[in-house]
Amino acid sequence: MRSEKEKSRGSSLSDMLKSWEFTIFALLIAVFILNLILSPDLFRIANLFDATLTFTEKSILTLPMTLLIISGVIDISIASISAMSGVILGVCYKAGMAIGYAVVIGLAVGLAAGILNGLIITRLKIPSIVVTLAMMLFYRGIGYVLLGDTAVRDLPERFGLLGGAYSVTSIPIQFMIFIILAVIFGLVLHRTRFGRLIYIVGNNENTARYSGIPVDNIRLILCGVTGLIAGLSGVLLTSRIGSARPDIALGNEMAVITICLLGGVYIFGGKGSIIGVVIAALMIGYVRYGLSILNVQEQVIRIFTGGLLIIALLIPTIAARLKTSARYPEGGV
Amino acid sequence: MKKWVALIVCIMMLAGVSLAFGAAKPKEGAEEAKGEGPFTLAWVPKGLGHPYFISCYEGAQEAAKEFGDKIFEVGPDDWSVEGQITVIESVIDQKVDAIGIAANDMDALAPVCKKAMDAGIPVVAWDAAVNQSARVTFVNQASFEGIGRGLARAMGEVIGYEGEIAVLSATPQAPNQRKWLAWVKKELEDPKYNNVTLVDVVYGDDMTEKSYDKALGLIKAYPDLKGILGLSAVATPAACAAVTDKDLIGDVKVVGFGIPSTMKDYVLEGTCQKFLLWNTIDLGYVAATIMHKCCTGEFTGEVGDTVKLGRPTLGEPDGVYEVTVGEDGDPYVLLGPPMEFDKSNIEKWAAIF
Repeated sequence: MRSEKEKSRGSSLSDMLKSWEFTIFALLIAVFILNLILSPDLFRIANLFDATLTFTEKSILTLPMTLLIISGVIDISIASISAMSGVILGVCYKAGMAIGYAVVIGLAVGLAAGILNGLIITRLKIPSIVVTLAMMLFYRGIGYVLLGDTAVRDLPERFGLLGGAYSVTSIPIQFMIFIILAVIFGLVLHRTRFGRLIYIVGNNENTARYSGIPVDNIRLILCGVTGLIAGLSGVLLTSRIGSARPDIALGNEMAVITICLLGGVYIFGGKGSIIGVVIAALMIGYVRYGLSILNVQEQVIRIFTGGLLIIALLIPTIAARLKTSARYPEGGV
Repeated sequence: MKKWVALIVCIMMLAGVSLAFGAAKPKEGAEEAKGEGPFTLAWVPKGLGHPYFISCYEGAQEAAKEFGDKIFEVGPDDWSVEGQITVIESVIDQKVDAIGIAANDMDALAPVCKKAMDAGIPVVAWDAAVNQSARVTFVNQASFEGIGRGLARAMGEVIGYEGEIAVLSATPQAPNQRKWLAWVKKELEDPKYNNVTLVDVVYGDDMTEKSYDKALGLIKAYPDLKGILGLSAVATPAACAAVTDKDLIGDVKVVGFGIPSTMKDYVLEGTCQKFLLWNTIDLGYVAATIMHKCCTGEFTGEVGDTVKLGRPTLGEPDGVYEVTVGEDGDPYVLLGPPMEFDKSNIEKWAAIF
């Protein structure tokens, strides 16, 4: 998408407005400026990094989700996978396993759940939203069966560092993980052959199949990766709250998909970029942070988030109307 | 490529701007002497919109008004642990002077409350504790003993210390249910209850329908049953509904836990003679007073430490509270005996919560 745009860059206003990254980046700057005006002495560097603690678990999930949606598949069971991974980590630890191994098991559970999703989607040819809707209930249920209404408490202190501590600078470890993952996912999507194949698969599944591209395998890999990252997200969240419980990450799947869409990922596949999604993740995070600093109630914050998504969706659509030659690619699944 | 470079430059510029803004207005560290106030108090209930917590906040506002402090309520709308953590993170960044919290989970909220304490913000738990390590003190609404004995006493009174009674509980695993039941039984050992027999304990899982069915079962199984004791705010109205539907008002008496607004009709009809709950307004009042005294340094949370309130409460007519060692071995402040509701005061309180 970007390469097409670059040819005509700057030629017209509608072209510039149509660039998601531009829109979203402008919004991010607007958010920062508004925040600076509204609470100047609170919006400081240390606080800015601190604030990432409350949205990093969601942000890292937007990365694999971006690739997945671009390939024409969606996974709405991610939040349940996170919860299940956290719970199984806790159960393993309670059973006497070293915390390091318990973390590995938690990640492996996420990977396995993602692969299971992928197998059902690709082998049985059932629409991904249906499959993962069912799996969302299934994985969440496992968490509740294992722990019921209770929680695994007194996880070791050093495990808590993973989710809550800071690295050498004042940057939280979690946020470092997010940045590193963002670079990796960005390089894979935008600089490798595999990344190009993801776009082709999402743009037109049938064409991709006739061209001999292993569509199902690509989607299976992406499902597995998404599951793995969902597991990581669950481990980080469990670490941050210091106890394993089945009711964590409720509603995270919608938050993650919202960020992806806001970041310019086309819901029917074939379009989107990591940089757009990263900007969107930061923007949503700081909008929420800025509003909560002002003690705006959560219900109102939701209205803001929904409103932002609608605005971000409208701008390019209107721009496209202005320019009649604009064409959208075909959708995938 | 150009785009990326431009982006990075922009981000750095932003960082620079916010750094400059931050440095321009340094705020005093919270751990420094806070003086006489007025202070900013953050009031964090388990969630927003519940009548129980609304009435707690009323009491807290009353205390804040007395001291001229600024108090604001902020909580998660989904009643979740994560939501509450986010809220605490944001009030820490706002550098409030004290935090009062009804924790959604004792352990899960501990790390972030500890962070607040490290930043010099005293954390006072009320209604539901956070771990001892992450709080200055905990204002406990009622001890298990006070509740258990109080319920048994109320039951004895309404049935005239004679006849068969049964208990309708929530679940056999829930620790508070277990402890309350144990204290009910202990109170029944007293000689004055010699003619009272506890014939059965049944569990309705805190679900209205199931509790209702269990209450019907009790009525059927024990024709001479004189009273049903509801151990939760769900069990008591369910027992009342069963008694009403079987036309046994007055024959089978109901006491237990309840929320005034849901119990009002049963009390006025005469199904439920008496029910217990702590005074939620006092709970908020005591907690917010302690939050203020933490800021001035008058209150440290040590065992034996006392706090003098601006007005008497139901539990302490002289308005003086002392930190004692709780049933779990940690120091806390006990609100006092639970409040009894009956025909004489139900109308007034049902309008409040």
